[in-house]
Amino acid sequence: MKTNRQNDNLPKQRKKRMLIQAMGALIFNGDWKNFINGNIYQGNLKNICVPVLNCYSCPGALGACPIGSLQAVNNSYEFNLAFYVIGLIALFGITMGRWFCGWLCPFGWIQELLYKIPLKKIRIKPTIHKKAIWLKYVLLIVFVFTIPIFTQDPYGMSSPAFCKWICPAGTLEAGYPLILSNPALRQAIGHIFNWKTILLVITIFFSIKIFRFFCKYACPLGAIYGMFNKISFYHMKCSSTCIKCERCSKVCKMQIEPYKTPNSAECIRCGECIEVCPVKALKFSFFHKNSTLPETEIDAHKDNKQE
Amino acid sequence: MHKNSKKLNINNIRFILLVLVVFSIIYGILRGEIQIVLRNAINICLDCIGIG
Repeated sequence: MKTNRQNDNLPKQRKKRMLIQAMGALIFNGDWKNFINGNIYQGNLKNICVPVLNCYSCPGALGACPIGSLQAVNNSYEFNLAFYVIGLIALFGITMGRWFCGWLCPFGWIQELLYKIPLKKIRIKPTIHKKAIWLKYVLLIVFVFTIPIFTQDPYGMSSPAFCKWICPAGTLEAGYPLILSNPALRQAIGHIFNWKTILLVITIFFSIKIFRFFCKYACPLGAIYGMFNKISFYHMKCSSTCIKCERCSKVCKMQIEPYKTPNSAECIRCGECIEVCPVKALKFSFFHKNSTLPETEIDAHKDNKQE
Repeated sequence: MHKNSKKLNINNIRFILLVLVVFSIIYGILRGEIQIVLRNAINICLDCIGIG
């Protein structure tokens, strides 16, 4: 009975998150007039990186994309390593982990809206999923760090490889709005834009079929934040009252088992597992006094040892 | 004693990392990285939108 009541609350929780995601998208892209005149915001707010994947060439973008900025500094002729941007991303990661992915990221929100399209959904087999999630780390290392740092021209510059060859968020949020509103840019479309359009179509198609397809398998920012999930101030705990009913695992669209690994690198902190827990064993916390690993992770460690 | 020494003091790690990232941000600002971020962010990045 109690569980039914909690399940009834689920849509409310989702609505709240969707509302915050929509507000995030509008605020991060708040210079709306540029969508009409085909320009981008050029104010000082762009000194600061936003905590989400939001292309700084999006006409309305008020801040800088952390992944774009990371490559911009890494491939500049002045510097090879972006202390400011890495520091900012790490600051976001240490404080909130992947909460930003779940609650503020405009591209994550777009993917969730696409997932609402009523077509048959795919749940990737756990064995394939567990291997595929490593793709985002490969993209991070190869396209965000290695290529910009090690393929510089004689002037010490290189291209932002992830933005140029991969990022579907840039194509959707910046490429198409600018091309539609700026005739001069329309003339310059070439094979790279066509390639990125193909990637965008693939991303859109699989986002309809798989929950947050890009976030799960390809987002380099999610990969970085995921590494902080275990140590971030904002984290999830599973207490010893857990009855291991696995309702949390069944409801989790990111395909993790919150009662075993509440701070998995894949968790976007949507909180739906907390809503369905019949004994309220799962909860979010910002700072905890015992200052040790969360209980379940210690238990899981013990279980592994015993096996 | 042995059990306690095994426990990972996460709060300490968090605070050490927090201090390190704050220094990293300050160092990056002092050496002028912020101007590069601004320079790239205020111009339409043709590479980013797939035209470059």
